[in-house]
Amino acid sequence: MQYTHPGRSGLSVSRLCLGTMNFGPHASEDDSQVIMDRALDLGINFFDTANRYGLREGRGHHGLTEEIIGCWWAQGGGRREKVVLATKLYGAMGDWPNEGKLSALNIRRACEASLRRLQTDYIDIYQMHHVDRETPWEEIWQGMEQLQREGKILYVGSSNFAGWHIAKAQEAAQRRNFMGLITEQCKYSLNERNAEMELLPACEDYGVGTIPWSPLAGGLLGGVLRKIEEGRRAAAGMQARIDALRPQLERYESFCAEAGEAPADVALAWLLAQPAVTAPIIGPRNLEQLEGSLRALEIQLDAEQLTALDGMWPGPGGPAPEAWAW
Amino acid sequence: MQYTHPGRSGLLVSRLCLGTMNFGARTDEAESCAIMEAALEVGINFFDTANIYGAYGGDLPGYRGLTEDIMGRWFAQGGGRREKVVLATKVYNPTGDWPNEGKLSALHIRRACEDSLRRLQSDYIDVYQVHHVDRETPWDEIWQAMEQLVREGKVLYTGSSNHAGWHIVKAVEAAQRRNLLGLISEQCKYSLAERRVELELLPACLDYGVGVIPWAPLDGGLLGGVLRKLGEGRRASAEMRPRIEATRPQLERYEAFCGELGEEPADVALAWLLAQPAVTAPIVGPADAAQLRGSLRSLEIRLDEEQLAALDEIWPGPGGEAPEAW
Repeated sequence: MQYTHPGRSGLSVSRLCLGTMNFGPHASEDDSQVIMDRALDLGINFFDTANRYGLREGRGHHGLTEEIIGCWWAQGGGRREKVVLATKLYGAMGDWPNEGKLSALNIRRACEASLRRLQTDYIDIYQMHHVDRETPWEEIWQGMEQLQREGKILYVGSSNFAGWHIAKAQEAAQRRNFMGLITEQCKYSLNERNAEMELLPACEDYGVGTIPWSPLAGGLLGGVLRKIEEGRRAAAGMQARIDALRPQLERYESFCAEAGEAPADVALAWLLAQPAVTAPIIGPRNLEQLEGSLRALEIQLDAEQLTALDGMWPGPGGPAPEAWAW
Repeated sequence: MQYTHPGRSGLLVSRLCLGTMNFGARTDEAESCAIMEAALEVGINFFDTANIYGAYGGDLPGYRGLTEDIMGRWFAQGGGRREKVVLATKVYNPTGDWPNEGKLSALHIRRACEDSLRRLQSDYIDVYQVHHVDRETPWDEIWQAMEQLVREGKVLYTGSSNHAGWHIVKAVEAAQRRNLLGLISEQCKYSLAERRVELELLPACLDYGVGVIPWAPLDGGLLGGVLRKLGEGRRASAEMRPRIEATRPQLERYEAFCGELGEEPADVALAWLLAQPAVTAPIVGPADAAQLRGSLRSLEIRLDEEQLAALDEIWPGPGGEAPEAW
């Protein structure tokens, strides 16, 4: 396995991050445990979850995913110690006031609830799931600092922030002599490159590692045309996106075929080639998917191939302001 | 005339800013002076220039610095001309090909300011703007140089141009650490046809109290009734033609919308910018005094919700702020 430091931190994490959003609603507890055990076998030490994960399409409940991880850790055998665990808060866990967002109150209570479900004493990276425009950074950092002093968290990360939010958060943390963010989890893939304008440059400048979520754009980059040919049906929402992008998808899948690689692996390899990226999140539902994704780490895209991919999936034209001005 | 404060500052500027980029090579000195006289007559007190203006945009003999020379000779006529104007000029672009004859080193900032003051025949610049982000100079160096100019009485305020949202955050935070006012304005490319600054730059400017001064508010003439002008027999420039073809359906709808409203397309484009909360004053770059007077109409157009929604449909933005936009 390849390891890297998220941003400027000294932490070492695997270059693939195990996403757990399917644990519970789409993968049974047994299957989830098998996936996590196999991840450790393969050297994947970076696991991502969230307090809200576990309820999807009417199945499961909020918190179920953390409970599954907690039960797995409780088996011992160094399972907890081998994992760098990132979880998140922000989303509402109930409909009473302060059961969501980033008030100092919810930061304290959400952390306690996650620790209980996870059956652990501390969270390695505590991530804010979304920017909260109604809570000032003084309050958020005071809440996070307190957790860090109590030994309940080690690092802080963010998710779904704009570039300027990263800058503002880091500047506020620096004023407090607090380390601040070490990671930002953002939507980023060949198909969704808006983050290149401001978010990635800001993260690189401030030493924040980026963790792309939806690296296959919801499956679009996973060989969707070939799968449909093989008789699989696309979800209703997906079909419209496939139709809109069909010429690009055709070029992409034939490019991957020529390279002799699976489209999903090429999409991950492209992300791994971006300097700002720490580790894309993979969300396997079974062992086969987990094991298959390791191939991405071995694909070295050369300059010509990267140019070809830029041609198929154009970015926003570089960083701002050059992307639209000069 | 309507006046407003740029961002959080106490300064008052007219809601149209006189752009002088054509003074020299495109508009001769006599006409340039007539435009400036007309501006004061109608209450426009906000003039924007740059140290390198004067060499481009037309066929008249020009050189870098001619625009400031023309303004300096006009100020020298006295009669309160200098006192009535809030003068914004810029530094960054190369003034020669020797090292340090450009960018934002402390050395170039000092020399460029002295040169601008000499050409402008003035003791001070009201808003000294950095023309572009300089990724190779740290903000401590830029601010130290700007502070020195402020202390010497050569500069009152500082502004920026062509910065990303996160650059604004970084700049203003660095200024605050030094107890310096920092940026009060950001001049950016913004129009109905180019709305990507809505993702990050405008929210960052609003948050930090930095007023936005849109350049190219008509997107190089695209929004100035270009189809009607072509119909009347005018010829489009070689660089304009492909852009007209690419946006023809939108331009047709836009010009029809303006026709129904009974307003000039250029005035509607300015009125739309004036309706955006982040905007201090768009830059108008009139070719003669009559054009300048014509643009005043935009200040009287009040676009209602339905009209703003129609314009959003014709010229869609990026989908709101980041990260929700993607």
